[in-house]
Amino acid sequence: MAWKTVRNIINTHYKCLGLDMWIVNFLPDFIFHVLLLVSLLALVASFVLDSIPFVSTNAKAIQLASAVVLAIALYFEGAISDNDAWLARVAALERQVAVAEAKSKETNTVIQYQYRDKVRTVKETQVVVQERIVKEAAKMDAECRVSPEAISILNQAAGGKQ
Amino acid sequence: MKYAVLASALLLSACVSVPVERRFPSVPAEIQAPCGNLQTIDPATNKLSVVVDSVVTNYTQYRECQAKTDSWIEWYTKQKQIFESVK
Repeated sequence: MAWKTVRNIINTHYKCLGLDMWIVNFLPDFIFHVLLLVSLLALVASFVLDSIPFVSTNAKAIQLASAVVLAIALYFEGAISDNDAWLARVAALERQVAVAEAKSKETNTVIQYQYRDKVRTVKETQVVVQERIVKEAAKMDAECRVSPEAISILNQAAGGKQ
Repeated sequence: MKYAVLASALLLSACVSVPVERRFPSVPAEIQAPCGNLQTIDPATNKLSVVVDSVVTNYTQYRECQAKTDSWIEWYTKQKQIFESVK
């Protein structure tokens, strides 16, 4: 139960990375650039500089090691590029979200003003109409008496009860 | 236990906070207030002016609720447009 809760919290708030992306985030990019350059140079050197005794005697080992390092460095160069592309998309989305939030607040302010304006008009109308009722009350009451049945019907309708 | 803590720390260090978080748009507090009940008339009265006054009060209340409902419709329509503009 507790583990489920922890897992839900992690899944909701965090995105877990694969080991490769973790390494890309953990180590600075220049390390992979240097590894790529060094492995490339070592590979070329193992073919070209066979006049140097150390290189000529260990050519196969240098070629193998530099090929492996080159492959790893190339993989991580791709991962860095992919990561950068995603970061750019995230940044673009964050900008869009910020703009949307600002627009949303602005819309709420406009709606609030419009609502207040409508309610003010309604209240003002009510005041004017009630002033007329006060003026005409005597005449209305003299000419017409409302039966209790009519009031009961109106109250039933207003109360919404059967 | 030591290894479990170490492994958890290592695993969690590979997790990053999800960067883009969208909040549900807020609603103006005024339009969230519920509409009140309609006013009833004192059964003991037989005056037309009292009846008319009550009817006017209820009409006013209807107009206020109408404004509130219109605001909600406008809020939904505009917020939906804004929400869908983010892709």
